[in-house]
Amino acid sequence: MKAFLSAVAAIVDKDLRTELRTKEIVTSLLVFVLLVLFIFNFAFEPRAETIALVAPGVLWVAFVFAGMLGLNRSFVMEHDRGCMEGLMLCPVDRSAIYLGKMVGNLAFMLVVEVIAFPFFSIFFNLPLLLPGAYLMALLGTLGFAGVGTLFSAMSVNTKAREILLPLLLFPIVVPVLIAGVKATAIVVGDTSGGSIWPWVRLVAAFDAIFLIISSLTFEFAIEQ
Amino acid sequence: MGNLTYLFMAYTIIWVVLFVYIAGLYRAQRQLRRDIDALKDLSRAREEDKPRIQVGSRRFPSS
Amino acid sequence: MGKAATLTDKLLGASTLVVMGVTLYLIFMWVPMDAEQKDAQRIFYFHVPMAWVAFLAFFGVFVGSVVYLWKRDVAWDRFAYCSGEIGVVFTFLVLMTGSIWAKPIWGAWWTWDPRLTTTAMLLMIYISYLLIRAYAAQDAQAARFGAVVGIVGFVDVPIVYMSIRWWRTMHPAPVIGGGPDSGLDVTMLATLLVSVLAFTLFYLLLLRQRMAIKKMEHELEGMRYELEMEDAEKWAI
Repeated sequence: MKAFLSAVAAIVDKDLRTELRTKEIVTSLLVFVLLVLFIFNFAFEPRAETIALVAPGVLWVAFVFAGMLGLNRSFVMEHDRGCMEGLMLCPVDRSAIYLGKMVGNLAFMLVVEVIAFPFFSIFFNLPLLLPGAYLMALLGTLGFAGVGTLFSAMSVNTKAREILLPLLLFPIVVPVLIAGVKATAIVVGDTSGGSIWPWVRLVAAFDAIFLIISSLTFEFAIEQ
Repeated sequence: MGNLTYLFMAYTIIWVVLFVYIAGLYRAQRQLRRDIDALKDLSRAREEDKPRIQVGSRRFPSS
Repeated sequence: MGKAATLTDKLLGASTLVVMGVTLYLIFMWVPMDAEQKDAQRIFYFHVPMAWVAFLAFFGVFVGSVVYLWKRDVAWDRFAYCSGEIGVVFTFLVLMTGSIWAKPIWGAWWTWDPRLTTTAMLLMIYISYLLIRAYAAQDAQAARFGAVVGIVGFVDVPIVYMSIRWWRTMHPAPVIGGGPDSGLDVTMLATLLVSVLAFTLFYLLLLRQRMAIKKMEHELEGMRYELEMEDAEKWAI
């Protein structure tokens, strides 16, 4: 168990170190998220009374699209420089590689989200602190990165590469998207909603199920 | 009876789609059979040719 | 299956034809007209069995995927793939007929009702299943990737359904008139069951044919490979 965890930690460390040197992924994802927030503002022109309806959708679309870009980078990098073979030669369980990559992806997305949230509040005139929405973003991103890491490892090996990942991932993460949007809407004051807890539980269940399935099937996704 | 039009539409679409799918399968099957037969002929012809194609004869085609 | 169709194929084909004929007779001649929905209700007798076949087919993808990853037998992968393809065809038909049925009854081609929306997502998931297989670099990879998507996709379906149901019920409910399940009488139920049988047979027939084609493709690849190897050997001397 200890060896397993240290293998996971080593892979996370590798990805974080690479990212700290280039700051490639986090910077581009952040700019992308802010751009999406702007563009949707132009597209929907939300007014005071429609903000609670529009803002959560905009936020989650921004997160999901940005996450997609980050996931694509994650394995393209390994693949193009032949690092995947190196990883596969490691005498560790394949699920350790999966968890390592997944935690790395999750970390990048969370950093972007932490920076993006205040901007979201400012642009849409919402309270600066939205704890419920943070919890939802954390759980939702975990599920998204969980399935996304698995699919990204596969799609990078196909002929279509980057195009295939959104096609595979979007239909699968529909529950996360719905739950995220609804819970955020409740937090920012959509009165028809009710409690956020059913949504939190739904996404938590999604996370648990797909983290298990993904770590079990990951070896088939990277096998040569 | 406007409803009858919808019924007609639904059934037409079902049969058209299924027909197109089955026709596609049929064509694929026919094409495959043709390819397999061609390959079989080719390999049979080669079997018959085998004694003639020898190292020597290929190296000195004029002799 | 060689050149001539085997006895099983012939029997299956014949029984599908007979049962499908009986189904058509029951739907159009025998079963009484629905009092409210009139003729449009007859779509139901094809719509529901096709939905059943689609579900059966995707369950087949799931089973085929799991067994393939476990035993690595190409036959199971072939089963999963062919089942998935047929499932996509039937899911598409379910959506089309559902939409046509909804127009006169609910007054709109499309409502964001949980079952409808989940079915649309189901179609998307399995189209992406076919796509990743089409874009994979080689057959073994297509089989592995397909199996992973087949498993993840199938497990996802109930979660998608649940999330969409909650999403909708927390909103003003869409106007849905008395569903087909309300007060189904005996003749209607009988017609439905015969139709389910007909479509299940039809699915098995299509599946066997599709798998035979897939197998032929595989054999053809093998023959090509062998001939190429022969060539390579000859020129290597």
